[in-house]
Amino acid sequence: MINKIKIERAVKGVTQQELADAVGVSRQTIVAIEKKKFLPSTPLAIKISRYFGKKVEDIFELEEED
Amino acid sequence: MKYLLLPKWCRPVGWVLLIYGIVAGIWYISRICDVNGWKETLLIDSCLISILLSAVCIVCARLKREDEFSSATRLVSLLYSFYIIAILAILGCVIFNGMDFILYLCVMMALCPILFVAIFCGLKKRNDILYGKEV
Repeated sequence: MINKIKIERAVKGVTQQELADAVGVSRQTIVAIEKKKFLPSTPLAIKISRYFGKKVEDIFELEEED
Repeated sequence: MKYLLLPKWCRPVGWVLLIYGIVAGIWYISRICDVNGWKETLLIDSCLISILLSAVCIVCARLKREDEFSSATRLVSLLYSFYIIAILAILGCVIFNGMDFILYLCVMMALCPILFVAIFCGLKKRNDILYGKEV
């Protein structure tokens, strides 16, 4: 699954730690999500999307093989 | 839900417990002071319990926050197993006026992996639902 978290963070000017604290996970989880090594749950995906003020499908996209 | 974290002052307490546990263990093994009966039981039981609790104190006081990865879940599961076994050991000492060392060891060896697997599976399932899965 592709995600645009890194891009959105850059636009909003927030660090991984700040995003992690805002959504209630560790910074390592945000790093792993950005590297596509961690698949977020639905609640977590919604929290991240809400943090950026976007829809879930604007932040997360399915890849061809998904 | 955060894991049961301990305040930082628990770490020095943990080290004290660990030192006591080691000293008591060496004392028991070397029989420097000839103790028998309930004193012997109290010595070895307190040695084992303090070592268990010290591991909990030292490690738990280092955990800073809830971690969603399996590595942290494994560590916390092991610590929770130690919590439960330590509590059972204390209860056993209180109810039965000390426990037989071999019996205690057998119970701990049997219980620890069972508790660890049960707690790990429960925590992992909870983390998967709340946070997601490692790919």
